[in-house]
Amino acid sequence: MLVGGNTFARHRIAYVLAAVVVFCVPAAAWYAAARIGWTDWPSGSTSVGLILGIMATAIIAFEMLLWPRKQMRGRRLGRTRIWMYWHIWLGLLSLPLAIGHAGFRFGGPLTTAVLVLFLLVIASGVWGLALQQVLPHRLLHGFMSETIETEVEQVMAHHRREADDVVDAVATGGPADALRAFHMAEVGPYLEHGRASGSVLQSAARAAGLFADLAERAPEATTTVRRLEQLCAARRQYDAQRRIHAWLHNWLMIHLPLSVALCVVLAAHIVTALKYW
Amino acid sequence: MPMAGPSINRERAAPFRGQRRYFHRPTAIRAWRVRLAVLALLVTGGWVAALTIDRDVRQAACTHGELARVHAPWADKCDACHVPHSSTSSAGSGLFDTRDRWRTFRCETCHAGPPHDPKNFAPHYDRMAKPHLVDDAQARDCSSCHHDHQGADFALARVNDSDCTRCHKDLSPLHGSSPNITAFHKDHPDFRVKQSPPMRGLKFNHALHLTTGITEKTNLDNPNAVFKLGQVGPAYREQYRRFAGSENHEAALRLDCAACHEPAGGGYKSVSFDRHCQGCHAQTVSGLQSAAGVTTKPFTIPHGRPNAEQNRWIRSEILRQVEDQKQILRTVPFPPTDRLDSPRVALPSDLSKEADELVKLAGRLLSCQKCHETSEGQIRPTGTPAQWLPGARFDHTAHRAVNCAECHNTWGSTIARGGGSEPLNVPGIDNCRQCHAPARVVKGVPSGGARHDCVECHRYHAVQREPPDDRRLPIESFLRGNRNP
Repeated sequence: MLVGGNTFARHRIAYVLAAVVVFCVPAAAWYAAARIGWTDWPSGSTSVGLILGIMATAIIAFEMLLWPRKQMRGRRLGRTRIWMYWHIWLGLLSLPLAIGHAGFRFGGPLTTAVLVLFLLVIASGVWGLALQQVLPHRLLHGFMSETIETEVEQVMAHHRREADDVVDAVATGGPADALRAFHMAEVGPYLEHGRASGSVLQSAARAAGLFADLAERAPEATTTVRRLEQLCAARRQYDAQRRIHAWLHNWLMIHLPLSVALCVVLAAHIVTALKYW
Repeated sequence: MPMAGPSINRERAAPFRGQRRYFHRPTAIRAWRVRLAVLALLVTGGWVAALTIDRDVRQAACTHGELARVHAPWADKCDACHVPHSSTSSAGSGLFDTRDRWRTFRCETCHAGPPHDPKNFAPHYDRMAKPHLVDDAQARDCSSCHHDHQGADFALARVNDSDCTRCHKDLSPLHGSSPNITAFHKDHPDFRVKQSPPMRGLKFNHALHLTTGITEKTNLDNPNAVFKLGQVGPAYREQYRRFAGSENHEAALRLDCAACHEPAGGGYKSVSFDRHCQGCHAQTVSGLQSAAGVTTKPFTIPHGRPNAEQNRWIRSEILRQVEDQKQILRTVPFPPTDRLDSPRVALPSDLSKEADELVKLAGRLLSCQKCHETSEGQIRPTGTPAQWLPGARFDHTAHRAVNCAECHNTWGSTIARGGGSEPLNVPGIDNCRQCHAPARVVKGVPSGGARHDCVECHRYHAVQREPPDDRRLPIESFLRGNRNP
């Protein structure tokens, strides 16, 4: 989700980071006041501390509702954009609330686990948000034939069949055999497996040289060579798209499991906090 | 009419044909996301479940923070210090009463006061001695000031200023009237000894004693005015040799503060005549001679006796010496009598009269007033208290890096012979504030930065009580943190 309403990605990232800082200003002021001695150190067991903790917990509960909301796309549970908007801003707001509740201390093993997980969840969320300010723009403008990530292999299988067909259509003998051999050794595996094939064709510069050389050696198959070159370029583009797609979503492999872990230790913290102090 | 080929859109759609439910197919990232989420659920759930199995493990994990080392044996026993949630003596049971609930302590288990006041092990003031002071309930709650769970190295006795200024910023409700104090560097009053200094009875000139040769600079060329090592009593010469800078008995002495002020603990030993004065100022009465020709040898009289006792001591010493010389006294013949036995010829003149004369002479030679103030013919007490700041604790050892004269500077460098007592030589609070204040730089000169919190000088617990014998614990109960067997 784009935040900040600015055209430039770096401005939007700066906006996110500035929001984090601004949200933490009250907590920092409280810390400074306590450090100087103007006020007592906050504590989770005071009325104020407890209210902060309850608010932070309520926000965390709301944040976790985004997961079932995404699972239940068919239900009319409000626009995803609205959900995401509140997920982001309430999530950032929970940071100073939790820090104030913790009293700027980690405490014992359980509370340390809660706070460390919380900070990691917030950090991974901010990291993901920052990536989302940059990468969709690159996908939109850098990949004219962008496709859905799960469809890439399907598309490339189709292109592999097309490549086989155009190579088979070339007459046999002479330079055409060299083209066929090149297709079998390099083009076919590359179209099918992409970067995983380890082919030299993943380098655009080297691919251009190889195809130029091939076109020179088999001038009657220039059209075929050009088509193979286009298909390899498409494969390269899909590989790059998948890489960016992975960066766009891999932070969720940290954010979501840590969020689940946070919920578990938070529940334990709530029970023990009310029972043990 | 030729057959039309497939449209461009149809060509574009060809690779996707038959794959409409692509969104149901999991990506690697989505699959790992779910796997890792399940793993996180299992790991954290397992950890939390493991915590619930053992009571000690659970309580150690649920601690609010690491206990100070002195309380470390009870780190896994919440109820050693906290009254359990379910106990009837626990304060507050509502959701928002967590603070009260967990600040219901059992400090008296180990820190028990007397039977009539078991929870008050070390009160702030003795109410028996000061019944006019209000009994502040908050002051009896240890946790009002001592906040544990701040880490193993946290000093429980190093309480925040706010714990003191909570009352001392306005003592009128508790104390009647008193100076209101919010911070040492702001509104702490000057020391009591500065406000009402004790009556001094000692005429001692620090400036003179710290000069070379213990004389004025202008006298340094006068060999009779300069005090030399050889003039120190033989018994004390070794003690003062280091102040002469050589073994030569003709070397002039140059004392420093340590000549009289010997460190002891965090302060200094009391200056005593016998150790620090007598080497130079021995109370020696030189040889005397009466009109009748009776002489006495020099003798030293003890210091610190009352006048009458001292006079008796001198008289007895002179009498002892005169007794040995009675043969030189004039004999007085007895008048003749009518008795038949041979008459006694003569007796020495009155010994007592000779002794009186010599005692008077000795009294004139002794000059107590050189060092002591007198009042109505009596030596006044020196007026040096055992502790100059009785309400605080000052550690000279911590200040040994600083030149003594930086603080003890009220007597200046003027040598005033025959003057009265020196002004009080205890520095005022402003002198302390040069260092003990918030750090700042004024016109390029650094100032402050040393600790200036209340407990740097003051101790809260004026009265340390001993628990009664029946409240002392066996080791097992002590380690369990439980009075009950």
